[in-house]
Amino acid sequence: MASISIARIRAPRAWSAERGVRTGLLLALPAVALIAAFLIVPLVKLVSIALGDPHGFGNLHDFFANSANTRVIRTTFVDSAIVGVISVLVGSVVAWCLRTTRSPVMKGLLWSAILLPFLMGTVTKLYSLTVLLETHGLVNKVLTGIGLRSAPLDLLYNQFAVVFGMTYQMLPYAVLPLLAGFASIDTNLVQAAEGLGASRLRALANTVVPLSAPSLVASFTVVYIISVGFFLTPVLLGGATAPFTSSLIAQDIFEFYNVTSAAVSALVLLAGSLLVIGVTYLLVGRERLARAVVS
Amino acid sequence: MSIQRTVPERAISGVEMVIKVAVILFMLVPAALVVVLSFSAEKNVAFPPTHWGFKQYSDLFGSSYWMSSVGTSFVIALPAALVAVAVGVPAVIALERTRLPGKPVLRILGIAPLILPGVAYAVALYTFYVDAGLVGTRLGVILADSMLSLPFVFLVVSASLKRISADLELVAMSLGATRLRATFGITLRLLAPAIAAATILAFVTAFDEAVLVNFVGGGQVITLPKAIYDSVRTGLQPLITAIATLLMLFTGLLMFGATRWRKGSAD
Amino acid sequence: MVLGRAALSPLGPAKAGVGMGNRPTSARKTMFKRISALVLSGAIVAMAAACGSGSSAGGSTEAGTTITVSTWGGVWTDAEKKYFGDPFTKETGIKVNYQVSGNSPMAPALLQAQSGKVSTDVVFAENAQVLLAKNLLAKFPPSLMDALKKQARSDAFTDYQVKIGTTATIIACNPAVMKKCPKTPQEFWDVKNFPGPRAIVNQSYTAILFALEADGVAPADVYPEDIDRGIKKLEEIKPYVKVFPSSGAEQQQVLIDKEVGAAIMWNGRAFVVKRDNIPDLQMSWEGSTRSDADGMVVMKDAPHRDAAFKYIQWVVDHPKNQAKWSGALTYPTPTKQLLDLLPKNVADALPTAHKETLPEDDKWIEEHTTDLQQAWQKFLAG
Repeated sequence: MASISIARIRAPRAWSAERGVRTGLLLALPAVALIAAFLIVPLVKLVSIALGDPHGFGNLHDFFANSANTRVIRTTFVDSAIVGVISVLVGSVVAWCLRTTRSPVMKGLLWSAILLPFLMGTVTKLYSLTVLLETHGLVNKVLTGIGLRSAPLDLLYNQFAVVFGMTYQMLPYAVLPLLAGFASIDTNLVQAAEGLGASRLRALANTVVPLSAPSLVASFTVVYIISVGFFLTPVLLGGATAPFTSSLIAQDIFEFYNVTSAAVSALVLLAGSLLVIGVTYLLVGRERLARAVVS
Repeated sequence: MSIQRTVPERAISGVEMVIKVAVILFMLVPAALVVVLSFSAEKNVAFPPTHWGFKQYSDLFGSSYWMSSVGTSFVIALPAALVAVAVGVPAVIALERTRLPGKPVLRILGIAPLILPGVAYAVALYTFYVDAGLVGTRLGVILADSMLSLPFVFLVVSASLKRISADLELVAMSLGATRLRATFGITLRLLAPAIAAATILAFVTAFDEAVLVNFVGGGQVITLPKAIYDSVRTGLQPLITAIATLLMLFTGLLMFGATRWRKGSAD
Repeated sequence: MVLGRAALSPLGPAKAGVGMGNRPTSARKTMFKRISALVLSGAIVAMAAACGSGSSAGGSTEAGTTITVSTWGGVWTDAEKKYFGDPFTKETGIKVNYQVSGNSPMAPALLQAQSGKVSTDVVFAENAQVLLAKNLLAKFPPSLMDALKKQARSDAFTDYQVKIGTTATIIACNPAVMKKCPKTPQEFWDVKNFPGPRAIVNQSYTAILFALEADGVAPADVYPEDIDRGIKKLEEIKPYVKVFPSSGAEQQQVLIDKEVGAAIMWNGRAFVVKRDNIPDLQMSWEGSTRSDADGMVVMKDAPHRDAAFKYIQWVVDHPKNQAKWSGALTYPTPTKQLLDLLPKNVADALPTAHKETLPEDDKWIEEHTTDLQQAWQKFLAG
C-alpha cells in the first residue's frame, strides 16, 4: 500500500489505499455492536450467573465437591483428549496418504470419505450412527451374522458410542489442517532419508514428524476444543447414563430448571478450553494455531 | 532408486492400507446406509429392508410438522446469513483497508464462536436471552445463528480481500473516479464471488445448526435439525432417512456452488 | 460451526475444482445478478415472516388467538389434538399450539417463569403442587368452577387444576425378549431368575419408590421416601438397565425395537404398545404407583388466560370426547359419565380401577425436589 509522498502534503490521505480511522470505525461498528451484544455480554452474564446466587464463588466449590460433577468433567476432558489423539493419528495417516498417493482412485475415495460427512448436518450424522450402532442395527447384524458374537453388543447409549460419534465427526476436522501442514513438507525428504539407509518408518519419524509436530499439536487442540463443547453427540448417543458435561447441562436446564448449575458447568468447560488454547499457543505459536483453526 | 522392502516395512504399508480402507468405510458407510434406507418402505429402520419404495419421501412431504420445520429453517437461516454478511463484510473491509485501531482484538472476537466450546456458548447466550426476553423467539434464533456464521464470513471474505490489490482503487481514482465509485466498482465487484461464497457458507451453517436453536429456541422455534433432534431422542423415525438424503443433496449442491465461487475469486 | 471448514481449506476439494474462467463472463454476471436478486427477495420475505409471526395480541378470546399448551407429546398429544384441540379450534376459532416436552411439561413453564416471560398458557402438569408452591397458577373463574361441579367427579378437580390423565407406572414385559416375565418390583430386581435388558422410567421419585418396594419396604411405609436407600437399590440394577427413557414415546420405542424386554413405564404407553405393536405384552400392576396430581393448569401470567380457560371449559363440557381420549390411552378424564361411556376393557385398564396402586405423595415430592434432582443426577451420571 504505497502512498505518494508529494500528494501527502496537500491531501494527507486522499491518495493512500488505506482509509482513515473514522471510516474504519463506521464500517466495523455493526460487527462490533453485534459481537458486543451477542458474544461479550452473554459471556459476562454466564460468569455472573455461575458466580452469583446462591453462593457466589462458593458455587464452584459446591460444583467440585459433588463427586458426580468431577467424574463427569474428568470424563469429558479425558475422552475429548482420546478423540483428539485418535483423530490426529488416523488423520495424519490419511493426510499423508492424500499428500503422497499417486492413484487417483485412492485420492478420490479418501477425499469423498473426508468431505461427505460435511454434507450431513450434525443431527443427520448422529441419526445415521444411531441406526448403525443400535442393538439390531447394521454393526450388530454383521457381527452376529458372521458369527463373531452370539449376542448383540451394547454399542449405543454409553461412553463408547459418544467417543465413536465424536471421532466420526472430528476426523475430517483433523485431516484438513494436517493436510495444510504437510503441504509445506517436501516429500523428497523421506526418499532422501531412505536413500541414506533408514527404514521407511525411521525416515518418516525423523523427517516428517518433527517438521509437522506443530501442525499435529495445533490440530489436536482444535479437535479437543470442539469435542469438549459437543452437545448433540453426548446427548443423543450417550443417553441418560453417559457422563458428559453437556448431558448434565441439558439436564440442569431442561429437566431441573437449574440455570446456575448449568452455568457453572459451562464456565468450567470454557476455562478448560482457554487453558488448552493458551498452552498450545505457547507451544506452537500463533501462526500455526490460526492456520489450524482456519482450515 | 529401488529400495528393498523388508518385512517390517511391508507390515507398515499393510497397516497403512488397512487404515485407509477402514477410514473410507468408516466415513462413508453411515451416509450410504441412510441413503439406502431412505428407499425402504418399512415402518422402522431395520436393515436390510425387505420392502422398497418411496414411502419415506411421501410420508415426509405429506407431513405438515416436518414441512413446517423445513420452512422455519429457511426463515431462520436466510436472514441469519444475510445479517452475518451485512455485518461481516464492512468489518472485513475495515480490518484490511482502514486504519482501524484494535484490529487484532476484532479479528479474534470475530473468530471466537469457532473456538469456544459450543455448549458453553449456548448456555451463555441462553442466560443473556432470558434477560433480553429473546428466548423462544425467531429473531433470537436468527441473531444467534448469525453469530455462528460470522467467523466464516470473516475468514472467506478476508482471504479474498487480501488477494485484491489495494492499489486498484488508486488506479481508478487516478482515472477520475470518486473514492466511493472506486470501492464499489472495483473492490466490491472483485470481492463479489467471495461474498457469495460466504453467504452460502453462512446459510448452510445456520441451516444445519441444532445446538443454539435447542437452547435459545425455547422449544417453540422448531427448525429441521431441531425436529430431527427431538425425533432421535424419542425413537428412530424412518422418514428421517429421506430428510437426511435430501439434506445431503441440498447441502452438496450449495457447497459445490460455494467452492466454485471461491475458486473464481481466488484466482 | 460445520461444513464451512471444508470449503475454507486452501487445498480445497480438488474434485470440486472444476476449472472455470477467472473473469466473470457476461453470462455468469447475469446469472449472478439473478441469483442475488432471488436471495434478497427471499430474505426479505423470510424476515417478514419471522418478525410477523409469534404470539398474537394477548388476553382476547377472539377467534384467531393461539393458546400454547405444554403437553407430553407422542400418542398423548395425538389424542389430545384429535379429540380436544381440533374440535375446539373448529368451534371457537382459537388455535392450539402444542409445545411438546416429553419428560416434563412443567419444566418449560418453570423455566419461563424463572426468566420472567411466560409464553405457555395451559400446562399438563405432572405435579401441580410444584407450580402451586411457587405461586404460578391461575385460579379458575366461577363459570369454570360451576361447570366442573356439575359435570366432573368431585375428586377430579380443584380450584386450580382439572385432573386429566392420572398416570400409573407399572411393569411391562415382552415375553419374546424375556424368558421369564417379572411381575413385582422384587422380581424386576431379580436379574438372575428374570434375566434380560430393562428400562426404567426417567423419573426419580417413581424409580426410587419401585426400588424401595423391591428392597422390601411395604407400600404403606414408602413415604417419606428414603432416597439413599432407594438409590442404593437402584445401583444394584443399573448395569442391567439399558435405557432410562426421556419421554413417553421413548418408553414405547425401546420396547418395540426390542432394545429392552421389561420396563417400568407409564401404563397408558404400555397399553398403546400392547394394542398396536406387541399384543403379547404383559402388564403387571403389582407394586404400581399412581400420580394424582396430573392434570391441566393455567399459568397465572399466561398471555391468553381467558382463551386458556375456554379450552379447559370446552373439555369439561364434552364428556364424549373425554371418553374417546381415555379410550385411546387408558388414562381417566374427569367427567362423571366416564365409566358409562367407556368400553369395559378400557375401564378396567384405568389406574383408578386398580386398588393395589399406590398413590404418590405429591406434596412430599414437591418439598424434596432439590434433593431428588441431585440424587438422581448423581445416580445417572456416576
